[in-house]
Amino acid sequence: MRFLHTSDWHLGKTLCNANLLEDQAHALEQVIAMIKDAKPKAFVIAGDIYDRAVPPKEAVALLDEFLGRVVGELKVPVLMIAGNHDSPERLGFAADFLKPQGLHVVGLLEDEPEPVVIGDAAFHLMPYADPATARFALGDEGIRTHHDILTAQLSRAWGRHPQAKRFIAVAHAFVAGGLSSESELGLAVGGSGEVDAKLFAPADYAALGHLHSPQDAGFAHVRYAGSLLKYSASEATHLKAITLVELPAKGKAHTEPMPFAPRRDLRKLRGAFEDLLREATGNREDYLFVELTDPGPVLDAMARLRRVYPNILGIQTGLERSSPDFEPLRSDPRNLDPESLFQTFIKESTGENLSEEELIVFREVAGKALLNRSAE
Amino acid sequence: MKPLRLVLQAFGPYAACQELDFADLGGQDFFLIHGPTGAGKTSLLDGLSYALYGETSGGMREAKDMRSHFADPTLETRVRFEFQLGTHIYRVDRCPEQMVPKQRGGGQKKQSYIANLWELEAGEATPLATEKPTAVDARVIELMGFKASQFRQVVLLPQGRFQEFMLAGSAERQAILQVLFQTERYARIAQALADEEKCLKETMRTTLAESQQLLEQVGVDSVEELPGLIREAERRGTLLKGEQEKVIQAAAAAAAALQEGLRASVLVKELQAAEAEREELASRAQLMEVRRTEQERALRAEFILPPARRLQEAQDRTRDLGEEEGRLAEVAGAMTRIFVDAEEKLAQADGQEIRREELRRSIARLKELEPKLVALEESRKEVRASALERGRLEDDVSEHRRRTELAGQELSRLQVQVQELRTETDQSEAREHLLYLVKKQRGQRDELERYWMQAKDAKEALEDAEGSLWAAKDERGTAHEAQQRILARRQEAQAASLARHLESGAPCPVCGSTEHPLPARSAADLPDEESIQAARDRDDLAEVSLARAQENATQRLIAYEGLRARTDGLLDALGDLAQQPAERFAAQEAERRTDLERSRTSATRLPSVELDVSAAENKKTATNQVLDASLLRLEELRTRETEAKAKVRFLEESLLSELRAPGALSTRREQAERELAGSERELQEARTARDAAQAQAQGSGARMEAHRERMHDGQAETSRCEIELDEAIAAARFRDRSDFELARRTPEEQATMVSELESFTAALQSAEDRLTRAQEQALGILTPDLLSLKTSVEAAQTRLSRAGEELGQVQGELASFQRVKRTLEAKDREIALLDRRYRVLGKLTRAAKGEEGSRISFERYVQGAILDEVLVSASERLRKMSKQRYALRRALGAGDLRRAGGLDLEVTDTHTGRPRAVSTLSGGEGFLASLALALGLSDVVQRNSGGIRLDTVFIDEGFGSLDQEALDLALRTLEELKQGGRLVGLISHLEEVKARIPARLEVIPGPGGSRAAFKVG
Repeated sequence: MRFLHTSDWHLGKTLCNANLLEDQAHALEQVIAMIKDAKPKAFVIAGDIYDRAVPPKEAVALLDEFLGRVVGELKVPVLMIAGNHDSPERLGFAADFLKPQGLHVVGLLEDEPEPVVIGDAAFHLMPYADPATARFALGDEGIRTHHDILTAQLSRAWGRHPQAKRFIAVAHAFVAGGLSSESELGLAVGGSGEVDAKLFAPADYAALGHLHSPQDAGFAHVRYAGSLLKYSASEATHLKAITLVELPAKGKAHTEPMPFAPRRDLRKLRGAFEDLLREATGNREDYLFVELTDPGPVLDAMARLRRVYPNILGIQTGLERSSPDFEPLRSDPRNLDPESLFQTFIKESTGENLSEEELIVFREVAGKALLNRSAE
Repeated sequence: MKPLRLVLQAFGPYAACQELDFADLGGQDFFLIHGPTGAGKTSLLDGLSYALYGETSGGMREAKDMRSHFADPTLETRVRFEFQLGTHIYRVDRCPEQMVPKQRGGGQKKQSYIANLWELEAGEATPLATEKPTAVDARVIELMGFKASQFRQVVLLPQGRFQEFMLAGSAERQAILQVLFQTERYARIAQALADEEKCLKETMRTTLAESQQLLEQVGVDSVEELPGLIREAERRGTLLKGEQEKVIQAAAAAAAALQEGLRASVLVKELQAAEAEREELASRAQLMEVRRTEQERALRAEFILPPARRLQEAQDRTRDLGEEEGRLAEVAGAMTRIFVDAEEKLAQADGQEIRREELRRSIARLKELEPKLVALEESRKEVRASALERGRLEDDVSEHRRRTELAGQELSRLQVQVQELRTETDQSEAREHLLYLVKKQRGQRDELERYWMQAKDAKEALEDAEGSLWAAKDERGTAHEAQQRILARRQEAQAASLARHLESGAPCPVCGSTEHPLPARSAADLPDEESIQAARDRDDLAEVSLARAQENATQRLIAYEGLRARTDGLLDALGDLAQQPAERFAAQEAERRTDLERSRTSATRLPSVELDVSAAENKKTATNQVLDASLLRLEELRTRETEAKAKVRFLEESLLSELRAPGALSTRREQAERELAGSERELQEARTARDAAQAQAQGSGARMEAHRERMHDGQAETSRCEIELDEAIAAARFRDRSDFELARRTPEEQATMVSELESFTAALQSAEDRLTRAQEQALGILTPDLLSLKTSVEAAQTRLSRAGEELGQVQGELASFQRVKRTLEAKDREIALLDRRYRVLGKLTRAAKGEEGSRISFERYVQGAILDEVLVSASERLRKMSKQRYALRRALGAGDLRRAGGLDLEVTDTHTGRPRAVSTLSGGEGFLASLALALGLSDVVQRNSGGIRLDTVFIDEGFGSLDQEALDLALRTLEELKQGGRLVGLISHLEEVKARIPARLEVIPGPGGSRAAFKVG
């Protein structure tokens, strides 16, 4: 059984006001090329298809076109589940009608889900849901955490699993042991959002979505495919790819990443302003997060850099931590006694330190003044 | 401040009583107040803010206007809020001024504004401030630590006004920082320094004045003159001391001489006294002799005493016996009299025997009658008991009758009710049908209305078109005429011109005739081709217009006709109803609907009422049965009573009337028995008395006899004793008894005489001895002159004391000079110290008050440092939320010399590298900055222990101004607060926000006001 595993497309996402739809379309073109090349028996997208519950119309059109080509023309079945960014109801529109055509979408969490059997494998599609929805849908009041939800979903899946088929789980969750990035919305609702990787151990393969870095989670056959593009500064070092999975009739699954060549990469740049202005390293059109090493502030940095790098996303200076203009008191001023405060104040105000004698006088007078108040 | 419970009654959109228990959040500390616009979200915060401070959250809606318009007029507007500060729980209650219905009569009266504040502890509410809103306000401000305006900048960020703290001026910000961080103690320290400085100055001045005074006291102008005066005083002192020594010696000598003189005079006096004593004693010797004789005679008389005594005793005994005889005689007489009386009484008692016999007989008869009386009593009791029971039973019967009636009435009532309900229920189908009809008709009426309007418009259009048509026709007519005329003119002119060329006999080109009787003539001349063409054109144009106008009119007519047809159709369908106004339909529809509802309701109620009917029937039957049973019992009882009465009557007749009363018989019998016993007792007593008296009389006679004998013996004894005494007197050498009596003396008198004699002898002897001694001692001594000796001693003493005085004076002067010198030196040292301290304080004070150096006061400096702290925390968050672009810091304008400056804010922008004023941020950016600032403030306050607690933050809208990414970042920042133990409440209408936050307070508007409820998870 050979299939492709991907997830976290976030179609329609804007990053620092830059619309990534063009780059996403470019990536999807590459995906279609990969499909034509590898000829898989199925194409699995493990959640977060869109970036928002109500996505922009261009994103919907893009997905529409993609699915039309893959399912309609190339006749490769596509299996999708809703992630925590998607609206389950909207994503699952006309799911029943589309099933016979080869498009298997599971948006809403169901109590008795049917697995999708293709070849010698049964795919169990387990969409994301929050605990309140899961309690209602599964009729189980004991569900409190995401671990509980996945436990329930997996047990039902095993219950309906046809014998002699390979068990492939498709889920969207934060499995313990994975690395997270800035662009993933936290799943912690009412407690930790983490799920124990051991839940997926008995499966033949677990196609996971949610974390944006391609990685294994605790086991070699429990895997995150990673996001379609780099979606935050912390992902600048990731290597984005689709995972090609080979599952022989018996034995372990074998995975191989098929990397993308994005049209515009997302990078972090660091250097002095003048240097950056003069020489542009790499593709000028890339999405850039720039860190300026200049000791002082730079006038109109953003506007001037944008003339060289049109897709610059953000600037950071090292300045904020220590400005020469002021030295903030490092601890709560109220916990410093008035005496030390006064010494610092005098030093700042007149430029000299207090003499021993002056300190004694101050201590005496201030002590009396403060005592009077506490006696009131 | 943590909210616990909020109750809003008839407040804003909350018409009824809306209670919110924050415990329903189930420990979630991040929640969303969600609902459509105008539902009442901000009103919740208004309620909270109003409860605490009497002002609404934005300070813009008037508190008086908060009464709910939906509320029932009897429900008063009131807000109650329970909250926790640290470990204390408080409750505050407010009712704004409002009109409430009067209790008696109609109309309304004004209820004034009241507020209350309690502290709650273990279920007990302790009032802290009552009734007066101003007292409650003051107390709340004291407890919370800040006022309403500060509350709105720090805890509750109101809609549209969240930027206040950020945009506030330095002075306003200073006030808030002062309140939150209690920095006024630094101002106090500065003031204390100034006060101390002033105080020192005063002290120095006083000390100098004292020094001056001391110098004046010793009469010098300056301290330098003192050593000289001291030396002079010392010299004089030494001189005087020498003189004093001499005087002391002289005084001692005079004193010794005086002592000698005194001793001599004592001895001389002693000799004189001894001589005098002896003379006196000698003169008393004669008297003593007489005493001695007396004593001797008394001694002799002692021997005669016993016989005298014996005589006396015998005489006494005789006297006693005589008295006793008299007494005994009396007694005997009395005894005789008693005896005689007793005999008489006995005779009387014997005479009563006849009566006693009678009584005995009567008693026996009465005893026989007793049993009958007992029986009568029993019967009477039975009658009474019967009557009582009958009475009770009659009461029971009437009660049961009443119950039976009631049961019957109830049953009838229920049966009627069942009937009514059935009638209603049966009608439900019909009513449904009616409702359907009315709805349909209403629809048609509305449609008709619409068509009528349209028809009116169409008619107008048609009329317009027809008007235009007529005009076009006119125009066409006119144009055509004009054309004809012009053509005619042309013809005429042509004809005329031709005619002009006519010759008689030549054929006319027109008609060919050769005769020309009437040659054409024309006044006009030939119109030119242009005019002709113009006329033609005009004609053509008019034709075209006419055709178009025709078409137009036709179309409009068709349209109009069409509408007419439709309205006619509807009118047919509606018939008369078409005349009804549209509102009537709506009213009818409502009526029909109500009717239908009623039917349905009746149907539901019917089964239960039927059940009630059968229950009532059962009850009626049961009560009836009970009644019958009681009536039966009553009959039985009546019979029993009659029987008992008959028995009583029978018994009474068999007894005498006076004995019918209970107890009469036994009384009579007892009386008789008592009388009998008494009489018998009397008899017995009389007999006994008489016997006793007899015995007594006899005894008394015997005693008299014995006594006479004793008398006789006594007299003989007396004579004997007299003789004995006379003999004894003669033996003792007394002349007679009287002589003897004179010589007698008591023993005490004798003893006195003896001692007197002895003491006289002793005294005489001692006086002799004293005289001898004195003569020896006073040998050869002369009497001294004491007076002159005393005088010289006194003089010496006087001289001594004067010398002492002079010396003392000089020494005193010396001591005082030395003291003054020391004191002045000490004061000088003191002043030097004070001066130093004064200089130090001056420096410190000027610095602390901001009069020197950087010109910032101590307090303001500390506030600046705190503000920096706050801004560090705020900037961290703001950077995250603005994708590293913005941060906040203090505007440190160089050269800001006014003391009131130093707390202004500005924004650093990494994109431009230049700082900007905070007022230049966009709406959304400004919201993020204000939020970061509020959170930063609360962070820094949290680190403080025991101060004001900022553990709740409410944010009212503002998220709508953010784009998708910014909203993401803002929400993420707020989510991070969960670890801080702070309660964060947001208001937003955005669906996006709703999807992210599970704990919600849903506000749902309705026709009668809004409702709010917590929904978690």
